[in-house]
Amino acid sequence: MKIANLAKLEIKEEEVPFYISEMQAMIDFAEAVCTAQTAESADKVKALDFNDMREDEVITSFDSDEILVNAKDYEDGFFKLRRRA
Amino acid sequence: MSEILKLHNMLCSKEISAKELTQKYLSAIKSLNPDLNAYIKISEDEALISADIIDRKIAGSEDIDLLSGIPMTLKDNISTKGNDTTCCSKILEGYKPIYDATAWQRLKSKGAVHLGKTNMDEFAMGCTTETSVYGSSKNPYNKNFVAGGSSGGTASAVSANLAVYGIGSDTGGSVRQPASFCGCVGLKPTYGAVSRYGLIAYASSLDTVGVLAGNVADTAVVFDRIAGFDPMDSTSRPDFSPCAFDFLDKDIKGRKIGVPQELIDRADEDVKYQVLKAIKIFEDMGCVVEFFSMPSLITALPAYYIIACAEASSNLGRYDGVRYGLKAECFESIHQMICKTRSENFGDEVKKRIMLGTFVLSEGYYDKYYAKAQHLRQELKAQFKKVFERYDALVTPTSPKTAFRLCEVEENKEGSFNADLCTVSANLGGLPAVSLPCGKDSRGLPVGLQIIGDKFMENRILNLAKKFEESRGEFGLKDMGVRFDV
Repeated sequence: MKIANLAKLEIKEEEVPFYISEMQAMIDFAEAVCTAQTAESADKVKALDFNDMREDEVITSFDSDEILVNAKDYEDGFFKLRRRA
Repeated sequence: MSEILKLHNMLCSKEISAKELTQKYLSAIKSLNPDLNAYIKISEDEALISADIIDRKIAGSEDIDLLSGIPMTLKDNISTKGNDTTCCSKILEGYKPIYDATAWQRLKSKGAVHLGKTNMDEFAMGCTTETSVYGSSKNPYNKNFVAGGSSGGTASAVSANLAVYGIGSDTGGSVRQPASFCGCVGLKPTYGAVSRYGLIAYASSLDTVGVLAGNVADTAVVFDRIAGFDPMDSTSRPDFSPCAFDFLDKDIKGRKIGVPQELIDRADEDVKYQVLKAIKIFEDMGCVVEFFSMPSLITALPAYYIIACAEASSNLGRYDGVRYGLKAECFESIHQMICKTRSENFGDEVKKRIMLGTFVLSEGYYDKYYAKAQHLRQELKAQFKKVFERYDALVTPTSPKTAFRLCEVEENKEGSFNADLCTVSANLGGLPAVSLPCGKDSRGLPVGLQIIGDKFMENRILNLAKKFEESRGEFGLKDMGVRFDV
């Protein structure tokens, strides 16, 4: 339930056994990485290079009216959420 | 022979008009799709308008591209401006992107005729299309079997001749495995060769946009047109100019091929038999074949699941009911609105993968799972670098098994994890890989052969694939859908 909450998912009480069993199967499968031999210590992963990235550059993007076209609620060019007291 | 070239010649010689060709495909889709469930949306009006434009160009004696007027399909996670793009998920019901994916935009600019969107596993998470909100696609070779996944709808459509080619996505094998199951060709390009702009993200460091077609030449024609630098994708390679089609007929004598023993050993007997037979064909063509051991290909699979789910848990965080997609009706707080929206509209498989990703990134587990998986990935990449100093390409089965029976995966979870065993390494390494049919199993289901190359060596793997295709002889797509015998 803690993981579901972190993942912003609501799991009903009756669904808990199903998800526990399914998640356990996936975790058991993933467990093989823990015993896999590696040449260097895992903490060096922080310094790894992943992809060749270009420099960020500011370019013209979409108009806010276009961005809002798929939103369920919007007002004055902004996404609209419920007002909080 | 290239189907695209054949149809192009028929269009140019006015043997058939683009509109007539499109109508043939639309009519075949209407007749066969209720059984196959390959398409989830048909774009009849759009397709006929595109075909009409090409016909007017031909009538005006204008030069047209090889892909002009050729009917094709897009997987439902490729953004199409103003047209539904749902990733076969309830949560994206009614979502109409405000821009085209670069791959689609490039094909559109060449005059491609888009027949409609094809089925897929929800958010590309699955290997059978059974997690699609629209139900699973069927295998044209036997409708009691799945078409594979996640690009199963696209593979089913291409295999049944309901599209000349299709654009799919491949995060861990999602183009190659369904191509293998359905007896067609599937190319997963090098990471950075084809822009991911407009491909709805699953796992961004692994996702690629790929091609499915009936033969290698058509695959090369399409790849050459969708690949190349795109400033809209920060991981797109600036200095890559694709020219795979021109390399298809190069002599392959003396090419060195490595065969990882671990992947041969783990294949079913029928698959192993056909793949070893294919390897013999490469030897007969003058290639130097060597079997070698690479145990990291096996640990790559759990590492892939950890990395893919971790990235998915972050990428799918955007579905909160605020910016697009469905939104929960009843809630008492913003947190509850987000939780309800996601819980009510994501399917079980997506929820499981988001939760696994959240778990491996959470405090206390990050180093044990995620950091270790990334470390394994880096080691795998270093090993691939050394392997490609010795070999021009690697040859493996595409999948250890042929197509699953419908619902079989639900009953055998371990089998579904292992379905990606031979394909995930190319994604972790960012390497190009192609699957093409090399035979059939005892049930008459296609067996796929995978050729993996070094980064940006699509020319080389497609050259080997084309030569194999010629030596193997006609495999043939299913005798259904639209066929022209010349």
